[in-house]
Amino acid sequence: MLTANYKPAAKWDISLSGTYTYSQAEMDMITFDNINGQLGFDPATNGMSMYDYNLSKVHTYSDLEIQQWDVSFGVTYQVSTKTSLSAGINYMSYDEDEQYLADESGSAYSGVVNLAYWFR
Amino acid sequence: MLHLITLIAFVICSPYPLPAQETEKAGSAFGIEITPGFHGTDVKDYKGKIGEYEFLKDGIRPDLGINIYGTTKGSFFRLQGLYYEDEDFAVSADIDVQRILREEFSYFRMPHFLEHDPIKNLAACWCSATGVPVPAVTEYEDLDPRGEYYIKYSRLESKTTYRLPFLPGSQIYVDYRKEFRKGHRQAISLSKCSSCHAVSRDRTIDEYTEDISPGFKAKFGNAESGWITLTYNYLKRHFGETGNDPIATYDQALAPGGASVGKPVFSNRVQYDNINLPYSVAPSSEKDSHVIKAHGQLNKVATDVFASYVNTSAENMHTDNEYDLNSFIGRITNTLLPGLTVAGTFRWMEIDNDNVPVTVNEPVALAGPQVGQTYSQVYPDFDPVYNRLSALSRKVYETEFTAKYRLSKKMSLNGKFEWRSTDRDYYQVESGETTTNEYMGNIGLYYRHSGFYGRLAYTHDSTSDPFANPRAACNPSGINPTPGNTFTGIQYFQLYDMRRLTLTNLPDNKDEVTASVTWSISPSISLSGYYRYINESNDFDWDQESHMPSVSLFFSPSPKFNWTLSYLYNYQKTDSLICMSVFDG
Repeated sequence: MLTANYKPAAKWDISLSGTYTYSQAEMDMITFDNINGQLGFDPATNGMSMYDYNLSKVHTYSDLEIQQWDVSFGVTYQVSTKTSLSAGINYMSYDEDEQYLADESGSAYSGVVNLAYWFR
Repeated sequence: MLHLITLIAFVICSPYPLPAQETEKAGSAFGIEITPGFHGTDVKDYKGKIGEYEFLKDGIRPDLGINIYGTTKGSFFRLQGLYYEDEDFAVSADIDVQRILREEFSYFRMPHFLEHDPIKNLAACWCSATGVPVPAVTEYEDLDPRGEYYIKYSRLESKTTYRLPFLPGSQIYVDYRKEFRKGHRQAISLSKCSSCHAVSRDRTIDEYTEDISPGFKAKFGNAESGWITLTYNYLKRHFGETGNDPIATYDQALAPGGASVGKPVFSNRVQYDNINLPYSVAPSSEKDSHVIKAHGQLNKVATDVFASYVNTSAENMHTDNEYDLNSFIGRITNTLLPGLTVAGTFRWMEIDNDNVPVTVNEPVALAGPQVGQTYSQVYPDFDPVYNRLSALSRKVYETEFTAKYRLSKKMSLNGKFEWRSTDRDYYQVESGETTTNEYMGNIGLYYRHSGFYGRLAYTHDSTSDPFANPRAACNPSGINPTPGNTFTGIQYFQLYDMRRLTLTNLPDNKDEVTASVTWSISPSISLSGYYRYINESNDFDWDQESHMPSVSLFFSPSPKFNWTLSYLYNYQKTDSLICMSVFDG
C-alpha cells in the first residue's frame, strides 16, 4: 500500500494512493485408506464401481489466486476564498486466476470533477 | 473509492458549524455551499465484485452536494445533501436549540451487489470403468441465468435528545431507525430421490427492520468528590419480509433405475412429493430489550464502578419460537496505588430458548416390497418423532482480572487472566458433557523511549471441551461398511449412527505471540513493524498455524509532501479430518 499527499502551493492539494493485494490458497488432495482389506473384496470389481469415487480433483475447488489493484489520484485547487475545484481518478481491478463458482474478474476507471462554491 | 474522494472533498471544503459555546462569542453566521460536478465510469467485465457497494454504470452523469448551515447565539443547524446516483445518495440534518433540544436526522441509500452462482459445479455423476459419466446423478438448472442480484439498502435514522436544564449531564431521548432492503437474490432449492435436482430462481427481497428506542440518563454528583450516572434504554425491534417466496416443484418420488424403475417404491421415505411448495422463507421476528446501566467514580478512593443489566426477549413470528436473555456485568477499576491500575470484571448471562417438538408425515409405500408400510414400521429402530432440544439454552459465567504496572518511566507491564464457563442446558460437546471451560492468560511488555516504541505480548488459551459435534465423522481406522441393497441393506440413519468421532475447528490449546515496534528516526521518517504468530490445536486431529508480519514506512520530505509505504504478508495452514458424505451418507 502506498499513500502520498503533496501540497505544492497554498492553493493546491494533491493526493495519491495505491493498494495491491495478492491472495493465494490451496488444499491438500483428499486421500482415503484402501478399505478392500476390511471389506474382503474390491468394490470396483465386484459390481459396485459406482461407489469407487474419484475425488482426485475435489481439492482444487479450494484453489484461490486473486490479484487486486486500487489506485486513486486526486487534486484540489482553491480558486478563490469562495470557490474551489477538485478532480480525481480511480482505477480498480479484481482478477481471479483460479475460478470456482464463477469468474468475477472485472475492472473499472472512474473520474470525478466538482466545483465548490460558498454563498456567505 | 472515487465516491469516497468526492465525499471527502465535500466534507473538507465544508466549514463545519461552530460549537454552541464558540457561537456565543462569534455571534450569528449563515452560509450555503453547493458542489455541482460530474462523474464518469468505464467498467470492463463483471462489476459486482470491484463495485460491490458502489453503483458502477458506464457513462457520464451529474452529481451534487449541498451544505446549508447557520449559527446564532447558543443554537446551530446544519443541513447536508449529497446526490451521486439514484440509488446512492444521502441527506442529513443536525439542529441544536440552546443546547437543550437536539435533533439529528439522516437518510441514505446505497447498493449492495450479490453473487450469482451458476451452480455448474453440482454436475456430479457416476462413471463407468473407463471414466465416462453415465448418467448424471445431480442435475442443475438455473432458471434465471442472466439475473443480476443486488440489494437497494436504505436507512432512516432520527435521534431526538432533550437535555434537562435543571440537572446537568442528564437527558431523555428517543431514537428511531428503520432499514429497508429491496432487490433480488439467488435462491437455490434441492430435491432428491428420482430427480437429484438443484434449481436456482430469483427471490424478491422486500425487508425492513424497525427500531424504536426511548431512554433517559441522569447524572448526580460532581467532578471533585465523585459522580454517578444512571441510564435506562428500551428497544422495540420488528423485522418483516414481504417479498414473494419462490416456489419449488418437488417431483413424485419414483425409483430412478433397476427393476422398479418409474414406480413409487420410495414414497414412504419422503415427507412430500409431487407438490409445489415455497422455500427460502424469511420469517418475521420481534425483539424487546431493556438495558439498565450505572456508572460511578469515587474520586477519594480512585475507583471507577460500572454495572449493567440486560433483559431481552425475541420471537420468531413464523414458528412462535422464543428466546429470553438475562445478563449482568459488573466492573471495578482502581488506581489508588501509584503506577498500578487493577480492574476486575464479572459477567453472568442466561439464555432460555424454546425446545421444538418435531413431528413428521409418515406416508406408506405405494409400491415395491414395503407397500402399505410406513418407514418406521419397516425399520422400528428409527423414531421420526422427537423433541429438538435447544443448543442455545445456556448459562455463562465469566470473570476477568487485569493489571497494569508502570515499571519505570520507559516501561510498563500488563497482565490479564480470564475464565469463562459455558454450561449448556442440553447440547453435549462430548458424551455426557455440556460444559466448556476456557482459561486465558496474557502478559505484555511496553517500552517507550526517545522515538522508539515497542510492545511484546504472549497469550495462552486453554479450553476444556470446546464446542464440537461429537458425532461428526466415522473413525478413520474403523469398519467402513457398504450400503448394500436399498431395502434390506444399511439405511441412511444407520450410517449416520455409525459416526462416533468428534470434530471441531475450535482449539483447546492456543498460543499467540505479537510484537510491534515503531521507530521515529526523525520528525519526517518513521518505520513500523508488526508480527503475529498463532499456533492452535485440539484433540481431534485439527491444528492451525499462522504467521502475519507487516512493515510500514512513513516519509515526509517536506511539510508539503508525505507518503506511506506498507506491506503485509499472511500465511495460514490448517490440518483437519473431514468426513465426506458422498451420495450414500
